[in-house]
Formats: sequence, structure tokens, C-alpha cells
Amino acid sequence: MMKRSLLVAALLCSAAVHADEQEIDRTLQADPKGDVDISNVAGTVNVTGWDRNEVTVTGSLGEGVERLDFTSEAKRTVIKVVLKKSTHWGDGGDADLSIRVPAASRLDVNTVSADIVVRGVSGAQRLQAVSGEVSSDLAAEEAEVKTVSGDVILRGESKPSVLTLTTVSGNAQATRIAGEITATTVSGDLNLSADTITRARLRTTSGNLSLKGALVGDARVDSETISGDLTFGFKAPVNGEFDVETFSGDISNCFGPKSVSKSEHGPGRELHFTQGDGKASVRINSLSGGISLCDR
Amino acid sequence: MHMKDELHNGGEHDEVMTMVGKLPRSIEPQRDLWPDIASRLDAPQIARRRAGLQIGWTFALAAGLGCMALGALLTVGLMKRVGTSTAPGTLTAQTTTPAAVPVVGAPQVRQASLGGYAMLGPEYEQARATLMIGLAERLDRLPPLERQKVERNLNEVRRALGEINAALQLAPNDTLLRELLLNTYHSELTLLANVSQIADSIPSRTQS
Repeated sequence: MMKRSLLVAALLCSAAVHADEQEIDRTLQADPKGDVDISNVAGTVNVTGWDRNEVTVTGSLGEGVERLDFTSEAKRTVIKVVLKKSTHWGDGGDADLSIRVPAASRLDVNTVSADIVVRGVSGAQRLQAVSGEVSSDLAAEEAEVKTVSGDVILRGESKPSVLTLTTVSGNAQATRIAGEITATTVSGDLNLSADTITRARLRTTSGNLSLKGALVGDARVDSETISGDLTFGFKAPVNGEFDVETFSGDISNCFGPKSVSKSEHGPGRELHFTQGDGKASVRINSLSGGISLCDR
Repeated sequence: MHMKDELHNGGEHDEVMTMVGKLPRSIEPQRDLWPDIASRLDAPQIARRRAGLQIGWTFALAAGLGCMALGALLTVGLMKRVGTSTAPGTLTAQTTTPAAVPVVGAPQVRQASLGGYAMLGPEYEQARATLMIGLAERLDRLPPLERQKVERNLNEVRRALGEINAALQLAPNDTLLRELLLNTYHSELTLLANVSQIADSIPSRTQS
């Protein structure tokens, strides 16, 4: 009897909560290569590319949501969750959106704590979250991902692309990327795995960084940290000129020569050598963080 | 955004642009660098691996940082203009916890230096101070937890600057340290610009 009462109470509570939610299911025509701008505060944003020239939005809006603006004019579709003024952070302003867009759309997604998931979109992507997590299949030629503390997971398709990745304290993992990458973090950890690398500009303040991949032709890698550890695994055969230097950190190298002290009295290490034809250029600097190089 | 805020930001934008106009096109080093340059020109080749950085490095660093400050100010100024021109009739700023949440290491304006070797010009300091003032407004728009994370990370960058400066006291001619210092100042400005941009683009609330 007691159990049944609790069950009924739970169902009533659940019904009360869901009574304030608003279900949405809307569709608009859209340009096959148009811009789709999406903004949401909390909840989720799931974007999937498809082969129709229309954008559909389904999902639910929490009680703190005033309305969903959904417009499509010329080549621009806007999907925007607008909260009531009285809604505070984490207070009923959730909106869970499942959005289908033409596969070649250019995406601009902007959230606060809402997680962003993108699948099957080949147009340029600009994904930004404050604390939400970002996960995307990078079929795009160009992608820019930015978070404050949200973690980032990116999966490329081994096609050359331009990726710009910025976090303040979020961790980021990118796999099967190729081409140019610029990645910056203060305290987050960056874990990057590329099939081929043509340009990489990587910087952390205290976060750790790992880059794996094959240097292609005259590839350039510039990497720097203050106190984080930097780990590089360049796929053999390695052809490049290496300039590696630390003020007080260690340098380890599993191929080529070993590092040497910068001076008789200081703790610094340096390592300068050419491997193979030396076409690529790899430059790595650190204040106190350790640097590790290997050809596997 | 309230009309008052828009007017305020517009005025601040003008102020920022005025300050940008006052930034020097060149910054004179504070001591005669030629004797040091001449001695380095005679150094062995291995020591000149980074001759481009060593020759006139103070000038290069100061000019570089001036450019960074200019770029950051222009970015913030542009973002402000964009921010005030979009979404009319909606609130883009929502101050949630300006006083209720304890601030871990509130933004402070510190004098920027190149390892005690040379001080950056007053124009750069002023430009940076303006960015920091703008930052405080923008941090108010972030959720409290995220605001604290940003502040912790700004402190992390400042700690890094402190470490480099301390190292430069031991090795004032170390080119690696100078480069790290320059890039860390750059990182600080980039972080400020990124946080400003993210805060400016936080989705809006209605006025009702």
C-alpha cells in the first residue's frame, strides 16, 4: 500500500513537471548551403545533417523558456531559445533540441551549459559553449570550437581541414584530424591525434598536450607551454628539423640525439637536430614543463 | 540590453577607440640597446640561431605587445558594436550574481613588464586596464561557477607570467624566456578577448 502511494505520488510529481514543458515540432524550408544559427542556454542541442532542403526542430522547452524563435530568410535560418527574464542559471531554462539541417549547411551554435552534438554536417562549423560539452564529427573544411570549461570531443574524417580549438579549462580530444590545427588552452588537457599534419600551432599554460600524427612535406609545428607536459608522437619516417628548448623542464627523445644542458649552471635543456630530409619544422618551447618526442 | 547600457557601451566604445588612436606607432626602448646588440652581432653563429629575435628584442616585444593591445581593443570594440546592434528589444546582458558570489581573485590591473628588463609603455598599460574593466562587466554575464573558473585561469596565466619574470631575474638575456613572456602576455590578451566574445554572445532573455 505504501509502495503504491509512493508510486502514485511520483507519477503526479512527474506529470506536474512535464505539464510545464512545451513540446515543439516545426519545419522550415532552408537553403542547401545556407547558414544555420542556433543558440540555447541549457539542455542539449543535437544537430544532424540530412539530404533535404529544410530545417526541422523537435524537442521540448522547459518552464523557464519564454519562446523559441525559428525563422528562415534568404540563406539564413535562426533557431534561438529565449528565456524568461525571471529565469536564472540552472532554473528551468532547459531546452532539448533535435535539429535536422541540410548537410552542407554552415553551422553557428552558441550555448551556455547546453551540450552540443553535431553529426553529418559538412559545412563550416563554429561551435561555442561556456560549460556545455561539445562533440562533433568534423566533415567540415573549417571548424572553430571554443569553450570556457566544457570538454570537447572531435572526430575528423582524415580530410585536410582547418581546425581552431580554444578552451580555458576544458579538456579536448580530437581524432582523425588532418591539415591545419590551432589549439589553445590555459589549464585544460589537449589530446590530438592526426592522420597528417601540415600546420600545428599549439599552446597551453599549465595544461598537458599530446599530439600524434605524420608530418607531411614542409609541415610546421609550433608548440609552447609554461608548466604543462608536451608529448609528441610523430609517425615514422620522420623528416624534419627540430628545435626544442626548455628553461627548466626535461626533454626526452626516442629517436635522434639526446638533449643537452643549455649552460653549465642552469637547469635548462635543448635539443636541435635534423631527421631525414629535414623539410618539416618542429619548434617546441617550455618553461618548466617536460617535453617528450618519439617516432611512434 | 537596456538603452542605458547601450549608451554606456557606446560611450565606452568611443573611449576605447580614442585610446587605440593614442597608442604609439613605435615605442622607444628605455635604455641604449646598441652596445648589447653590437656584442651579440659578434657572437658565434650557434648563439645567433634566433638573431632575429635578439636584435632589438625589446623594441620588437614592445611593438608586438602594442599591436596585440591594439588588436584586442579593436576586437572588443567591434564585438561591442555588434553586440549592441543585434537582437533589438532583448536583453543580452543579465547580471546574475554580481555581489552574492564571492569572487576568487577579482580582475586586477597589474603593471606589465618584460622581466624587469624594460617596462611597457603607459599607453599599453592603459589599454590593458581598459580591457580588464570591460572584463569585469562581462564576467557578470557568466554563470557563477564559470566566472570563477575564468578568474582561476586568469590567475593561472598571471602566475605563469610571474614564473617567467622570476626566471628572467636569474637569466635576463635568455631568449626563450623573452619569447615565452611575450607569448604569455599574448595569451592573457587572447583569453580576455575570448571571454569577452563568449560573454557577449550568451543567449538573451526577454524583458517581460
